[in-house]
Amino acid sequence: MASSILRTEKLCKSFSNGGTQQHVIKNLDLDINEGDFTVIMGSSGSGKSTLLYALSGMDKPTLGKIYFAGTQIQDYSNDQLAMFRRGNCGFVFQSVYLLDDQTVLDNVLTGALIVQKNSQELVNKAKELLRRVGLNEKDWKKYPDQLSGGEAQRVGIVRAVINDPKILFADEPTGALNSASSRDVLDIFTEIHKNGQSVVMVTHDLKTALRGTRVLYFRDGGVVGDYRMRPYGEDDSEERRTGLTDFLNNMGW
Amino acid sequence: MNILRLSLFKLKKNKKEAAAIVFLTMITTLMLAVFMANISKANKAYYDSFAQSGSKDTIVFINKDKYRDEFKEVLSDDYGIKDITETEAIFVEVLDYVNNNGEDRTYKTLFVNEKAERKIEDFVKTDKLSDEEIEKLEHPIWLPAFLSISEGYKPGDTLTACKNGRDYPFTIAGFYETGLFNDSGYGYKMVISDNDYELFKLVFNNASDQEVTVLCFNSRGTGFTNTAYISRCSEIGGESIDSAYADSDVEHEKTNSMLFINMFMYFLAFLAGITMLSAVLMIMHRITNDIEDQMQQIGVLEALGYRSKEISLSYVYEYVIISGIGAAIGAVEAVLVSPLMNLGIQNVIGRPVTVKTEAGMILLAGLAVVVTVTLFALIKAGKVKKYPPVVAFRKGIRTHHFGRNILPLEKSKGSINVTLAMKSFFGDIRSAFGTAVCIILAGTAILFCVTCVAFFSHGMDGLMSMTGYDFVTEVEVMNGVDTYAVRDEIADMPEVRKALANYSGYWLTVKGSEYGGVPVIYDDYSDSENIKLLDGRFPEHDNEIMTTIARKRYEGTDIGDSIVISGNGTETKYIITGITSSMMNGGMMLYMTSEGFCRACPDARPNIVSVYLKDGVTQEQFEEKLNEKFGTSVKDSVNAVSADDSLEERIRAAADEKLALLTSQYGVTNIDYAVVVDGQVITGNSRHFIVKDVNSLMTLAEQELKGISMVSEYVSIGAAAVLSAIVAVILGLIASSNVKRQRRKLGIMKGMGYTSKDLMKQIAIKTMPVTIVSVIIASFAAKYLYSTFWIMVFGVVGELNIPLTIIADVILVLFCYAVTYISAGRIKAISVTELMTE
Repeated sequence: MASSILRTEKLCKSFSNGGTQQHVIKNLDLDINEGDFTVIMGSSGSGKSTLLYALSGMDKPTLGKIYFAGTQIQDYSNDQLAMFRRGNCGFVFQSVYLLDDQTVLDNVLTGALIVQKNSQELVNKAKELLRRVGLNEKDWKKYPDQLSGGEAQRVGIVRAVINDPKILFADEPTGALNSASSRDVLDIFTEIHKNGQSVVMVTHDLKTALRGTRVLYFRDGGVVGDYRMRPYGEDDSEERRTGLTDFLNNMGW
Repeated sequence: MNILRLSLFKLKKNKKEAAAIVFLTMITTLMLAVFMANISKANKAYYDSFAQSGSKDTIVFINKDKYRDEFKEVLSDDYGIKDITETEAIFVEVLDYVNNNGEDRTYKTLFVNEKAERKIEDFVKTDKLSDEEIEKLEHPIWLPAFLSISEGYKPGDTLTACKNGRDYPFTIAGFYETGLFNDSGYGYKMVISDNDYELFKLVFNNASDQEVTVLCFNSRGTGFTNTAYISRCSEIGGESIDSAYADSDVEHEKTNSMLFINMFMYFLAFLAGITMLSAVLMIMHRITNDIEDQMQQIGVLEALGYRSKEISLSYVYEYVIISGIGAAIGAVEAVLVSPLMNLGIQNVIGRPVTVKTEAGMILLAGLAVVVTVTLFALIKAGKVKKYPPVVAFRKGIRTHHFGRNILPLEKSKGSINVTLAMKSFFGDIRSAFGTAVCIILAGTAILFCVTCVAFFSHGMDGLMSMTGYDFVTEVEVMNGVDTYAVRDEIADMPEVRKALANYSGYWLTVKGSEYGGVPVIYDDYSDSENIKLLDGRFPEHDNEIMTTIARKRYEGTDIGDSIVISGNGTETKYIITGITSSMMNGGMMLYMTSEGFCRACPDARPNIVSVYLKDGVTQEQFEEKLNEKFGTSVKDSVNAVSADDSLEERIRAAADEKLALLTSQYGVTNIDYAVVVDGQVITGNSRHFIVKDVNSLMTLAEQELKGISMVSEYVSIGAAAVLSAIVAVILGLIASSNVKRQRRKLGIMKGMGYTSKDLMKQIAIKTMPVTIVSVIIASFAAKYLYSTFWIMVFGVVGELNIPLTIIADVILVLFCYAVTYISAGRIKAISVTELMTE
């Protein structure tokens, strides 16, 4: 049985809004296993991104506990959380967030060099990963404003995985891409997952959700549905689609 | 109104930056207002006080034995001067006093009686005793108001003049408004009773101190110059009157009195310039950043129908409001410090400052600051015009990177933070220009101040080393005593490091120059300890002379040139072999060998022994040993109380006192006496007196320079602190502006796992290349400024202390790093989630 990589106990997250408290996550108990491709879905404003940030140590919970590979992280200071993230987490964002003033290769290495010392192996690894996502030598020297949305997101993925994170978080990574680019990006995620990478992804897109092995439906500050699938490509895609659609329909999606 | 509301909104949003610019404009206004208000106030106070005294603007005086009536006629005939007053005075070059508190003072003094004073000026009395009290005074003295202000003397205090060991006690009857001879450099005119005046005519009757004929007149606009006048009088008299002549006029005395006020004021103006420039550069930097940051907002406003001119104005109004607040606070502070400045000016120029606060000047200074800020804000805010709505929506025409990737990370070595900081620096090198200018200017001033603080913090030692003069203990020997023999004996004393026979009390004039000079005489200049050669070599032969950098500047003479020196009526030509620097006598000293000096003054003889005491030996200890060796000096003998010993000893002591008096005051060279008491003959003579007087030049110098040294040190410390605060504000603004501008980038990097400290480090390291280069440039600029300052003010060459400058450079760089690092602390407030949900 796969071991738990991320677990929450009575997790709460509230925001103060004009003097009133808005409870976005309410007493959430959640367990995410190593090697899972967990997809978090829910309606807009349901708090799925907030959950992702809390789980990934980007944001601190208001109450409750978060265990990452058995270690509690909810009381970490901001700098401790940064140290925690650099060694354990990779992030892919909807808006990519590449550094505008750095080339493709430098964007990848900026994420790597805060964790590892510079070496030829590291540079070769970055180049190899870029090649694997379809970016060739000519692209490495480009700046973000010279890339298409899909290309930029592929750079974002390479940057996220260069440090071999224990878990890869993605917040609507295909949200700003056209369908062809989305497919390419999702194929990369699928391939990474197949290689044993744990992934937690927030999306509201059915096609994207189909790539996961577990879909959590989030509503009113808690997980109201938990749907499991076999890894992508191992089952009939139509059957997979129907099963997930039924689940989501049941959830009121 | 809407535009103003926009400005106020922006102001509220950036309170900290606004506060920093308020600080810069406040400091600028304060310094500018203090400069503008007080420079005119000091001038006005000087002239008001001068006018109140009823003095004419020029005084010349000539030793009475050399004076001829034709000299007065030269003034009317050659210069058309009509209203000339002639009277008498006693001029004493150096006179020791003991004040009411028992403190020693030395003043150059011009004694006059009331009749003469009323001829020179109106004798307007200020603070005084009652008429009845004055009536009762045996020896009343009226002092210039300067001494009341600067020394704190009061009517009724005693002031005792000491000459050749004899005390002449006076009681201060009061003070009076004095036009000329109201300055420590030129001396003080003191009004004494007719009886005391007659006595002093006998007491002061030698080459340097004697009765003079005084001519007072208004020379402004007449073309009168003292050089031409002396030359003409010498021609008429058939002999040189160079050494018998002295003068003073309002402009020279004012320049002398106002030297430190002007120095301080212009330094303030310089600081105001630096802060103004820094504020303007920072405002321009901020407007550019604001426009870039708020590009989309600008697009929205333009789309809503706002004209680009109106949007530009919202930026301008923002800074008009900020600078207006700063200027208003600065102006109020300038008004508040006005009484303090009055007191300071009053103490320095020694004249009452009754001028009210120069409100107009203060307002003008505030206005100048606001107008300058507005002007530069307008120039920069005009940039908005470049962005029509569509372009603004797209955040401007984005700059594509087609250039070379500077410092590619794949080749990086060492810390990633340093590499990323350097990458960021090279990518944004153009914005470093403003920062560099600010740091160079402020850094120059800081390094200058630090050097001044270090220099003046050594108390007198620093200034002494710049004087170009050895502050020794001078042992004046009696006439007829072999000075060289005394020198040898003194040199053998265990308290003494070195003793040299030397000349004192001589004055030389330089033909064609209005500046005379005190001769400094060494046969071997390696014996001197404070005379530093700047160029050429020391004089070695009797036709050689060394002059000063001040003389070179004023007279245009240099090494290889010949000058004609006049001493005791003879004119002698010398070749200049070297240039040195000196603070003494306005930097106008003349350096020669004893043989060279004797060519100008053939009858001169060494009359003093310059004694260099060993470390730790006090003046008192030395004098005690000197008395043991040579017997009491004439000075001490006059004041000696007869010992309670045998009759014969008491008679001998009383006789010695009389001998000393005759010797010191009436120029008697040799006295024999015989007293018969109860059939016993007691005989003696004056030949046992060897030492006439002992003086410590160090004590005299301390009196002159201690105040300057202390004030300069405090001013330097204050200025360095203000400048450091300015640098801190500038760097703080730059750092916070960097954080604001790179908010997105910093958020992304935080997401990657960079800690706030990593990012703060990167921002601080990014400023280091500019800081280091700027500080190095500032060091060279400070070197130039420092040497210019010393030449301008003291006529000496000031050398920047290199090791100290290097240490100060390092501290300045570290300070800049620390300030930037701390200011970048607002990175901590950037949350990654905030960035992602923007």
